[in-house]
Amino acid sequence: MNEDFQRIIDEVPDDEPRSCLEPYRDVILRWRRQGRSYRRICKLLGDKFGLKVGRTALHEFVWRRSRPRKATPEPEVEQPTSLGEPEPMQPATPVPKLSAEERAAQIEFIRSLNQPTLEEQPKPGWDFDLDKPRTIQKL
Amino acid sequence: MATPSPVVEIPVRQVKPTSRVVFTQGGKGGVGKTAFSTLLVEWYASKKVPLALIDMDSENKSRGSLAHFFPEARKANIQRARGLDDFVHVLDSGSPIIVADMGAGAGEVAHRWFNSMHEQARDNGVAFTAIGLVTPDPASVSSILTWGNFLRDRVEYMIVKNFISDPADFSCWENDGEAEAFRRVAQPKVISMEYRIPEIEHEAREHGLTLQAVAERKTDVPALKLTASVWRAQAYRRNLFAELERVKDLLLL
Repeated sequence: MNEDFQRIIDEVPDDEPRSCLEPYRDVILRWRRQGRSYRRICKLLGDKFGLKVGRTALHEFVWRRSRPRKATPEPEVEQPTSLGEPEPMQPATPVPKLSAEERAAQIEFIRSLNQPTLEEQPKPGWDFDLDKPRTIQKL
Repeated sequence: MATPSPVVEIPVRQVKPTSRVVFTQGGKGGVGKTAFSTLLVEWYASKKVPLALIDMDSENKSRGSLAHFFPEARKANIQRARGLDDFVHVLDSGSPIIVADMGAGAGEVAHRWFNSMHEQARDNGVAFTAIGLVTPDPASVSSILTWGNFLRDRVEYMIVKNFISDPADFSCWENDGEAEAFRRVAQPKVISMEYRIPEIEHEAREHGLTLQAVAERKTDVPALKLTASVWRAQAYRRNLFAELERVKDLLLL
């Protein structure tokens, strides 16, 4: 790279976080996962960190950043549904390719689960008709 | 007098498939596609069936999509050019069963893909199960009929009557003439998904929790830690699993 460009890149400091809530992101998301309401989290942020934030801003922050089970957030770009260049599928985890033997074993296992189950014999039922005249007699 | 619908011969399955793609029909939104898919995945897990998950719901990205509940689900983007080729990619990796949750509006792409690729897939031992969800909303029935009209006899059909209210009125599905013709020709297997109380449904969705997590008390969410919620989650699973057992030949090989 051109040395001037590199120097400029090095001189420009990193951008500040766009949200004042960014430093508290992990705490906020953890509180949400624990089921705390937005109102409650607003109060906790005020009590614990002296941070004043509205519920709407907090909700927006959580909505944009909560990815409860992903290590990295997804880009918030709209995916084209019908036009544009095809994109490769993005696996969440690498897919190990099975050997022919492993696959055959899986197929056999799945087929073994697809056996017809024996029909359960119906248990004898008992209906009590309230309108029917009673025939109970004293012995 | 109404013109009788053309009868499409349903081919008898001569050879057992070696792979199966189980997919929710896209189209009408809000009918419970992902809620059902989530429980279906839990059923497979309970039977230790190896499977791959594909989340094709591009409209419901951050919350309530299959990948929200199962991080291992692969996000796939339906596109006109490539269609549903992701099915092929995942099958090629070795998973004999795929569960794919389609997003609303996937119809045209799926239509093109089936017209172009279905025979090839069938010749390679791939069977397809299309899952349609019926609610009291007539649009849900229209959506199923639209999909059935282009999928025809290339898939096997499962219909899930989703009780989104209690009681639920399915007269549109049960009494409509075209729905009756579809049932006669396509012979779908019909199961029921019982009404789930919103407190559990919404909280679980909000936090990306499966009913299994609730049933096994693996959550810190107060409303879902209640014993009543835990028992309900266990009951929902048990009841739907019993329904799925009735139609397992559409879900296994």
